[in-house]
Amino acid sequence: MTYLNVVEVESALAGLAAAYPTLCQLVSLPNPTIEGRSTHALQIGDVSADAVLFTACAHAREWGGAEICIYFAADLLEAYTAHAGVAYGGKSFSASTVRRIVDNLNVVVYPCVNPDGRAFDQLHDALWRKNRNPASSGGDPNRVGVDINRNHDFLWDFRADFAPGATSTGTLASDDPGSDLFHGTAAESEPETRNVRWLLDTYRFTRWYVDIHSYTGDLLYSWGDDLNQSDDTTMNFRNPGWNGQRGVPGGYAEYIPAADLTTAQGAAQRVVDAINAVHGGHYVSLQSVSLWGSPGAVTYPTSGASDDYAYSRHFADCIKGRVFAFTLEFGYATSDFRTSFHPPWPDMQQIVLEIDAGMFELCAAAAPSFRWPWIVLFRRLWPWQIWDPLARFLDPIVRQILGAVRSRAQGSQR
Amino acid sequence: MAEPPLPTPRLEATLRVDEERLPDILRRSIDFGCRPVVTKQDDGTVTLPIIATASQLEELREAGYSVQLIETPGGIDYGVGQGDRFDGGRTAPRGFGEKTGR
Ligand SMILES: [Zn+2]
Repeated sequence: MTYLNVVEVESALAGLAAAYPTLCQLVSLPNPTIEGRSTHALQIGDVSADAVLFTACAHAREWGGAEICIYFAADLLEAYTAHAGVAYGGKSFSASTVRRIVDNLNVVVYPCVNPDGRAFDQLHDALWRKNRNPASSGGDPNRVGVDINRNHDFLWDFRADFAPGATSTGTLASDDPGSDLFHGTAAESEPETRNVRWLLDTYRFTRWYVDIHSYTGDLLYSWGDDLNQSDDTTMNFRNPGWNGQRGVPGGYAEYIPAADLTTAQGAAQRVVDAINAVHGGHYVSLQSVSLWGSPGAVTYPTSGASDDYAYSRHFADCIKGRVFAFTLEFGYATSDFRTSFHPPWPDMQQIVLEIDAGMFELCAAAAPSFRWPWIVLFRRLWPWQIWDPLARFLDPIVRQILGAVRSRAQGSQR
Repeated sequence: MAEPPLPTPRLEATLRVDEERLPDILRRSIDFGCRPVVTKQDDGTVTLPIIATASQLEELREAGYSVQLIETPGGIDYGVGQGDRFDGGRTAPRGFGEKTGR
């Protein structure tokens, strides 16, 4: 066995879709890559159910995410068809859990967000991170590519949105095409980024999202731009009054509802526990902005990252559902980068078992044991294309009325 | 069509800095991997692996940072498939999990 090349990633998905035609379907992503590659996702289960989305390989050199997704999908489909459970080392899932996931959930895997980068890195062993867009390179091979995980539409304009102290960090993002963190010429300028957004738009009942990377052995939950706080609702990424103040210690902290934080932390811990149960690993869960794992110490603020974008959507647009989003960093640091990013295949195979157990655990947590038939029917029949613009139009009016009613009620109390 | 030129080869190194200087090093435009991996050492310093060209490493040395080149083990076959094991979608992959209780 070996890692999959980019052709095999596509043919593996096609193979699963052909082998299990009643359980899953191949989904064509709308935006071909700069080098003209078309990509696919695999959608398993009922599209009207709550969805769990897994994406991987936005960073080219972090090869194993594709295999993690593909072999997870293969296990799920094979076990369901055989009325079987699945065991990964010390962690197992019963046949009824497998059945519940496929029957009551919509599982979407998109194993290779950035196939151009993967193909380049697998061919040239270049420790390549970005995509292969040459538009901003001026012909210099050292300035090719955009970091997909800095190109999402979340505080993308880092020079305006973050404090000057944060903009000078090498971790936030960069407007220098020579940097590995080059964020592109606009938010969602890259086809790879737009494909991830398309999945979130298309599967509107997505409730959970995991973007798979390597390697630090952790599962990161929102936010990634600054420390979390749950007290001041006005201190948030949409408020331009806080522009120029984010991403440095003290002052600004990003608002997250306390209940959301509890949910995200609980789910992250559950996934980490499942991963660690396979071989006795030591994965940890922490807030995305943490570098040390202890809030308040040195932080690692990011702009335009996938997890923050996915979680931010429902705050920014009333028709978007709430998506609990995570970045999963599989594997641990070894003595050199190549072996850390893409361990020799026998080691990677063990990592696949661990992370697949974590993915199963998240799906098991997300899948309800029962779905009300009228909700299923409603989700299928409701004219969303008419409703969405109407809801966007009505939202500020309703808010204004509610605000006026509230202030009048407060006034009469006084 | 001629192959486009390749980027300058990059080297792997371990950077050792006093903990107080960590924010300074994070400010530099260096490739730290997907996320920086910082390890506290017993002597109060921290180390973090980086990827950089030879000239970037030289700049860091000139700026007073301790830079130790990582000898990358050559000849490791990380293993990438050559053909198409799934025959254009006519064969499906099998997962690695053990199927139980059937
Ligand atoms: Zn990454």
